[in-house]
Amino acid sequence: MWKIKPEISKKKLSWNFDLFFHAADKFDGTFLFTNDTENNSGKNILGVNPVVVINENNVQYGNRSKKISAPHLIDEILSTNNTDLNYPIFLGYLGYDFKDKLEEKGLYAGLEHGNLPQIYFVIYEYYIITENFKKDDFNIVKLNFEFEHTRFDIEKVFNLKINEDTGGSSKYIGSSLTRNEFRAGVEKIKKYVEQGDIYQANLTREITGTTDIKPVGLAQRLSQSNPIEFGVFSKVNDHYIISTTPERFFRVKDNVITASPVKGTIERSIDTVIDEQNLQILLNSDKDKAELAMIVDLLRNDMHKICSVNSVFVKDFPMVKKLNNVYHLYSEIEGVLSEISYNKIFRALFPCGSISGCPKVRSCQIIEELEGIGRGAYTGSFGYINFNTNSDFNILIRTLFYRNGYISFNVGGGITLLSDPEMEYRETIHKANNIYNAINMEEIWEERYCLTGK
Amino acid sequence: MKTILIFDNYDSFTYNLTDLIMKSRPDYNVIVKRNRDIDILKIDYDVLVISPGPMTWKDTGILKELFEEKNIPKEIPTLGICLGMQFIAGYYGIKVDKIEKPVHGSQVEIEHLNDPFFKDIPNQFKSVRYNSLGIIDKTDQFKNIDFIAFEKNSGSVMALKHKNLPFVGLQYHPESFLSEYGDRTLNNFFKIYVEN
Repeated sequence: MWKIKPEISKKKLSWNFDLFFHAADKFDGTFLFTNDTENNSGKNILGVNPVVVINENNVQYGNRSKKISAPHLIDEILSTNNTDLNYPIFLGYLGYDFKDKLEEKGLYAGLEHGNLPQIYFVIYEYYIITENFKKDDFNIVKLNFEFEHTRFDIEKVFNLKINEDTGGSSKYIGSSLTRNEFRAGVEKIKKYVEQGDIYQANLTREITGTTDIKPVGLAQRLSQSNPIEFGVFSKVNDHYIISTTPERFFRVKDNVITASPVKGTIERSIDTVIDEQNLQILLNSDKDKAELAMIVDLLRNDMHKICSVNSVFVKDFPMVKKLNNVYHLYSEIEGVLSEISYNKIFRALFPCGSISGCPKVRSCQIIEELEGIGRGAYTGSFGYINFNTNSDFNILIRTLFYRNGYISFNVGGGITLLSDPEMEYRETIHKANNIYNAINMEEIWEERYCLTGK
Repeated sequence: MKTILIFDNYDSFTYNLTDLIMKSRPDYNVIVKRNRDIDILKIDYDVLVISPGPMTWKDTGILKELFEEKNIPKEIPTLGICLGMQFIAGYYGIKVDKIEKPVHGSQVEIEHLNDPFFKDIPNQFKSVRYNSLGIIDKTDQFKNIDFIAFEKNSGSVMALKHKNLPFVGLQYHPESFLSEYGDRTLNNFFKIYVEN
């Protein structure tokens, strides 16, 4: 396996978010960002100039390629290059549809979606890392490879001139499930719950459209719309992934793995009395606590597969996450890994229970039946892995996909026995509205009539 | 060394149970197999633990075959959780069907009848339920099976045991992080049925 030599330097820069979006766009990069000051995950990472690109069955390195198995290759590269350096070697993701490859053959239907890779991990030539965009807080990591590849002049990034967002608007094409289909899906899930198949499943629908806003413009608009702890702007071939997710899936630090499932949300208020009342309503909601307990038990289960006996603990239950606009209930589960293998971690944990359902396998089968199409990268997981094997992975919700003027995103929710089909459908419109507004989507009769009452 | 076979019904709590067992009995050999894996038939095991799982007690792969071929003739100690309990009940002719008030992820109060299985566990304790199906008639007690714990509020059956054979079933989930006395429950099971 190749030896990769990192060189680290510091640089003073007067940079902001926008420059990182532009640099990722222009130099085939990925930008992982956080703009949530209250729950800061602590890192903004830009990778530019992909040198090693790992897909499911092959790896491209420099001008060459060979057949491999992606999760195994990640472990091989990590073990060859394991140092105590706490800077990234890989940025990348697993798409939801990759679940089929991680499970027993024949369990899932093999649904696919578009041509975004199902798994994609990249080693970039350069990483620029900053915690807070202060002038003297930019670390530059240059990776040196032992094989030939296209070299990149990092000065191009430092001298980048950016064009202002020139505006534009977006048009609606349609939804993968109509209102009636979505409501029927909710009813069907409730039937499955009643007859003992599952306790809960997440049902989503995909909304497609066109836009004349450029990808960077979309990222800028979406990143202003919400507090984002685990944001992504990534150029993958001619696709763009733009995620504004507030949710972590798991992180690995030394040999400890931590998962942080989120369930239950309530609006905040500028009136401090109402704000406190809302918080108490959330803390006393038996429904939200039960749903969170279910996901905590599911994640404990998945972590037990790869952790030492008697090492998995729930840190606190439930905890409150305070964002600018909402409160969430969440919990943290910690375990000691018996070995650090990303192949094993992915197989044990993926896909996350909070976006599939419980029990997971049966829920994923029901989701296939009711959604009818693959989810692509949506509800997959994007993150980084460092040289010292530490990592942090999000859950790809609130995520927009862009390619050549076409856009798509999914909206959905967790369905339980208590769900009302019409309310669940409206909730998806409510969630979609945040995105419509951000990307200047025209009025859509199908999506808005029940909010305006027309 | 004794071998514990954990019969996994494609559930998402199986490894919580596995961890609880490995913690309770670190000297045992623990094997987890999924319910349609025919390799199970080749395993020589001393204890069978039937996991929770989706659907009905009849949707449990090769469990019935295994139970009839090994557990009954060899009197192998068996602990069934949730779907696992429903299998034991269903197998001995007790009706398992949709219950009036399903509970998924909430704590309930459980009352037991002082069976030795609940030794050192208070008469009332809290545990978590995840079930939409269950034993619907608690008077539906056949000559082979005793009901040994009930939910305080609804009165529904939460635990049962076979009168003569070493088979125990729990409807609640001792392996949940919100359940009390999971470790003592497992310890009692091993002491009474495996290490006697």
